Order: sequence, then structure tokens, then C-alpha cells
Amino acid sequence: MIHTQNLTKKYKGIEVLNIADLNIPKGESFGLVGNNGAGKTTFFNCLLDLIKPTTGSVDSKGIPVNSSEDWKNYTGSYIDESFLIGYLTPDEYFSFVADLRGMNKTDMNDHLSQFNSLFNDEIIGVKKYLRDLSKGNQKKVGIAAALMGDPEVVVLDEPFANLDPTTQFRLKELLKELSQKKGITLLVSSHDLTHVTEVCERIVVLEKGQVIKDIITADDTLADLNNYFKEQLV
Amino acid sequence: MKINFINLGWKKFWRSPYWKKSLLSNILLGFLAIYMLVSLLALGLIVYPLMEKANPDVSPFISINNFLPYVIMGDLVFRYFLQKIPVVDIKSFLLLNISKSRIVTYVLNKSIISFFNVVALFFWIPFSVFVIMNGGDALGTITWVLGIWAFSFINNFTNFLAEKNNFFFGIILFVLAVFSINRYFGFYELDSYWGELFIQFSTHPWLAMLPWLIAVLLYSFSRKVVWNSLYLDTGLKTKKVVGKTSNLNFVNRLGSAAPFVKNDIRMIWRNKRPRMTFLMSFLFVFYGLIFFTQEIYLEMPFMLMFAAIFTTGGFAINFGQFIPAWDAKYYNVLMTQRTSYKDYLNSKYILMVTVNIVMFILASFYAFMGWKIYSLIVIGAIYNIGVNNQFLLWAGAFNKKGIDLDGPAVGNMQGSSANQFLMVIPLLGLPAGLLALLNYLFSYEVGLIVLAGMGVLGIILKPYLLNKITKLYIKRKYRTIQAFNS
Repeated sequence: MIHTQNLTKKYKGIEVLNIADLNIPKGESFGLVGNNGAGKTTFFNCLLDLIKPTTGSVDSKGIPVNSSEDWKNYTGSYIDESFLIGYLTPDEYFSFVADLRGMNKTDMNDHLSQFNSLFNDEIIGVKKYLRDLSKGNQKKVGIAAALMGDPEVVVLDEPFANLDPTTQFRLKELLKELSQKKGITLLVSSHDLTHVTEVCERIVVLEKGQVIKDIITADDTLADLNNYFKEQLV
Repeated sequence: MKINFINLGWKKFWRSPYWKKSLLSNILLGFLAIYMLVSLLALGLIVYPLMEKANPDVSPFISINNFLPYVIMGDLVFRYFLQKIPVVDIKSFLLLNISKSRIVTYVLNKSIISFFNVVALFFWIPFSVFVIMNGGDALGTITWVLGIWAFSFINNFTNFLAEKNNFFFGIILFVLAVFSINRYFGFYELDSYWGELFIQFSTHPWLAMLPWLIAVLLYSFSRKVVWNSLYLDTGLKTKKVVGKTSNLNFVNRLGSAAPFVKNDIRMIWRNKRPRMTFLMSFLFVFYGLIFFTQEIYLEMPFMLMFAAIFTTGGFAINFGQFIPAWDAKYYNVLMTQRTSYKDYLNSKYILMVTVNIVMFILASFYAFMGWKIYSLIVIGAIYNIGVNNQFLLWAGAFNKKGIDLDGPAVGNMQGSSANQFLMVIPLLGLPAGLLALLNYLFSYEVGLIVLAGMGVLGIILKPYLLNKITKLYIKRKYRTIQAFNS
């Protein structure tokens, strides 16, 4: 589904990303972990054609993301609140995205009803602009919008950060369900090793822009990852 | 699928958190625009007959063509200062399935639909009516106006492309200056060559397509530029200033207020608006010259004191009237730290007094203007230090609007409220009025002595007054926090 080749990004001669070859097959749930500055967001930004890589390319369904914009039609993503339209209310934002994704009002309401327990009556029908919502609620809006219109690929940067525990659990269930039942290709990054091992079938550890580990999640993966990051202390 | 960009733009405008705050300046800008349109219209109506009268030998049509290069370059300079490049929240559209081509089109269309691109017609249409009435070829005149109008769009895109480029702007200014000097001294007769070119638009109507062609080329070039800037690390990158660490150790001798003074110095120096306020304040040193050099003011104690207060108090007044609003964004942090309100306020006082003294030293040159003038400066400085600074601190307790530190410094009303206007009365009106009144009742000298006495009294009572002011701030603390957070 997604294939990167010889992907590097340099800022003023300093290399922040260098991934020789990475292939994410259709339907895989892919987790990206690493400390701050490891290159997780840079990688996602390249994937979403938000920055131009210094060398190499990212293909989505075999087509480079910077040559055609078709991938936008089947890719839902959320990076952070700066990508929201701050002066809209949540409802307005959802209908705006629904319009873009070609959903009608019923589809949209059906989609959003999955999030009712997550939204906790603080989002739908609230007379507040997105910029005035709390970080956590902004994130809920962003994630719910990213999942609109049955995307085939979903990219979420740090989806669990800033969320309350109940929402974290619900979101995990939702993501697992999406990847198992609907077969979407899911890419998430996280600092929380427990969450990411629970959700993802495959985990890649980045360190200073390079792939250090590329593992299929198994029973001992969490312990393995915990050990790895503990060792970084020394 | 229908993306209503216009609808979004409309919502953005009305829901902007700054909208209400900048209502006044928006209205003023609106009036300015109407004023410009009316003036140009009037100019278009009277220029032709006037030129005919001034120079009966040359047709106004030819003279105006000779003048066109200056108009076009002048327009570009004008745009550089006034025309805003449309700001679109491109980032929020990038992750959605909106094609880049639509985003680019939207950005450029927004720049085309601008007051600056139609304003020229308000002059040229009435002018061309005169040309036709005086025997000009109707078709030729129309194509001539169309040809000239194209330059509005050429300038529009030139300005758009050169937006961040001061170097380019410098070149334009330089060329304009060279042209003007050349014209003024009459070194080379260039004007008629240029004029001849523009006249071609009327003699060969099809030539008027040429500038439009250039405009279209610039449009497509702009498209490419915008397209390439749709990346987080190129066009959408926010400027990051390299942070400099400065320890400002010399401030430490101020004791417990030192950390705050240091922070204030950094706040002023590292943010656009306070920095400009600070730098511009030094111009007030010369404020007295406006009044002290004019015979009529020398007999008006009110105006003299008014000027003297401003000369040494310019910074304190501009800075002090927004205490503590400068720290609005970080007010919560300050309130959760182990800080003493008194030290915090004292640091502001120290800062104002320091600049008062610096301004006073800079104002030494007034001594050459005689004792009468210099005594005003001396007493103005004492009064500022003793009375005005503490008044500013006191009034700050009632400030309810935070300052946006990154906002423009010139003509920025953000953060102002009726408070700021009311404050001017006691700050400037009281000392100036008192001097005028005492001069009338007793004598000029009595007035000066009383003002000096008030200043000295203020300095002596400062510890006591500062305690009182601190109590007031503490009493109003929650209201201030709430106001700054909203």
C-alpha cells in the first residue's frame, strides 16, 4: 500500500530521517515509536506530502504522493490541532469534511454516532469554536474527522496523547476494529508503548531518523521495547 | 462536491478574535478607502482641464503618458506598504482531499479581488472621457485605459511575488529615485520615449493586449510559486528566530526585583510590538522642539509643560499604560511562581525611571535653549518619576486587555480601551493644567515649584504608595487573570 524508498530528509546538512526501504502492505496496522526528535512526525509529513524529502520517494498504491493527489481521496489523517480550522464549530467542521469526503448528512451522523461515548457531550452541538476547545477535545475532533468517509489508509500522529483514559481505551478498540474488520491500513505513532503494542501488528523503532527495530508484535514485544528504551538511559 | 471557500473566509473574518478589537481601525481603513476613491474620481475630473490650462501647447493626453512610469512605480511602492497579501489557512486544507490546484487558485483569486486593483479605474475612466470629448479616438482611448489597467495586475502579482523581498523593493525605490532625479534635473529626456510607448495602446489597439499577456504570465508564475510553497518546511514554515541567551548580569544589583527587570528587558527586546514602542519612544526626546521653538507657545505654560512631560516620559507613558497587559500571556505563570507582587511592580517602576533618566540625559541639549526651557525639562522629569510613573502603575491595576506581543507596533490599537484615553487626562493634563492655573493665579515660578514639589513628594512617598498599589493589584488579581485568559 505504502512504499518508501531511500527516504532521507536533511535540514541544513543535519540528517533527521534516513530510511532505506520500508513497505507497509495493505491492511497492516503499523506503529512507529521513538523518542522526541527520532523522526516520527517527519516521516508522517513526508508520507502526507507535507514536506519534500531530500532524497527518495513515498509511493501510495504505487504512485508517488507528490506527483498525484489521488491518495488524498482514500487517506484520512490527523497530525495536530494546527491542522484544524480554528474558527469553525465542531459541527461545522464535520460537515465541511463530510462534504469533501462525499458523505451525506445521514452518513455523517452515522459515522459520528460511533464517537458518542468518546465525545462525552462536549463536542456535538457545542457552541464553541474549535480553537477554544481543550487540547483533548480538539484531538477527538481531528481523529473523528480523519476517519470520515471510509478511508483505506489512516495516519495518526500521537493519537493517544492528551486523551483521557476512557477515551484512550475506546480509541484503541475503535482502531483495532477498523483494522481488523474493515481492513484499513493504519499508521500510528506513539510514545506509549503499551497502547501501540496493543493496537499494532508491526512496530518500527526510530532513533535519530533511522530504523533500529522492525518487529512483528508478539507476546514479548512490550517487554522487549521497554528494555530497549530503558537501555537508552545509559 | 462544493467547497465554499467564500463562506469559510466570511466566517473567519467575523469570528476572528481580533475583529472586535480592531473594529475601530477597520472602520478607519474603510473611510480611508472611500476617501481615496472620491479623491481619485475628483482628480480624474479636474486634471484634464487643469493640464490644458497649465500647458496649452502640449495635449494633456501626451503629458499624462509621459508621467505614467512614475505612476506605475509609485503604485508598486504604495502596494508594498499597504496591500496585504491574502492570508489563507492553507495548513488546514492540506490534509483534506482538496486538490492543490484549488487551494492555489483560491489564494491567487483572493489577491486579485482587491481594492488596489480597481482603484486606478476611478481616475482613468473620467480622464479618458475628457480625452474622447476633446477629439480622442473612442476605441483607441478605451484600449489605452485597458492597457494601463493591466499594470494594476502586473503590480499586483509583482508585489505578491516580492512580498518578503526587501531587496527587490529597494531596487524599485532606487529606479524610481533615479528616474525622478533625472526628470527633476533634466539630464536625459526619457519621459517622451516612455510616453510614446503608452500612446501605442491607443494608436494600435491590439498592443494593449501586451501588458495583459505579461499579467497572465505573472499569474501563472505566481501559481507555481504558491504551489511550491505548500509544504510545511517551505512556504508554511513559521519563522524561527535563533534564541540568544543573555544573562544581563548587570541587572542583578537591583536585588529582589532583578529577575523581573531582566524578563522585562527580554520581553521588550524580543517581541515586535514592545521593541518598536521602546525604540520609537526615543523620538519623544525631540518632542519639545516642536513647541519650544515656536514663539507663540513660549507664552502658553500649558503647552510647554505638556511637551516637557512627553520629552522625558514618552517611553514610560507608552509602556506604562499597558502594565501589566504586556505580560498577559504569561500572567498565569507569574501568578503560580513564588513571586512577590511588590517586586513585580517595583521592577516596572525601575524600568520606567531608568528610561526617564536616560531620556533626561539625552534631553541635555535643551540646556542650550536657555534656563526657561531647561527648567521645564528638569521639572518634567522629576514630575514623571515621582507622580506619573506611580499613577501609571496604579492605573494598570484596572487593565483588562492583554497585549498581543507579535502585533504590529505602529497604529496598533489592540489592547487599548477607554482606560488608555482617560489616562491621558491626569498624566498630561494635570501637570500642564496646574502650571497654567498657578501661572494665572500667582506666577509661573510658583507653578514650577509646586510641580517639582509634587514630584519630590511622590519620590519620598514611593515605598508607601507602592504598598498601596500592590494591595490594589492583589485585590483585583482574579479579575485580571480572568480578563487576560479570555
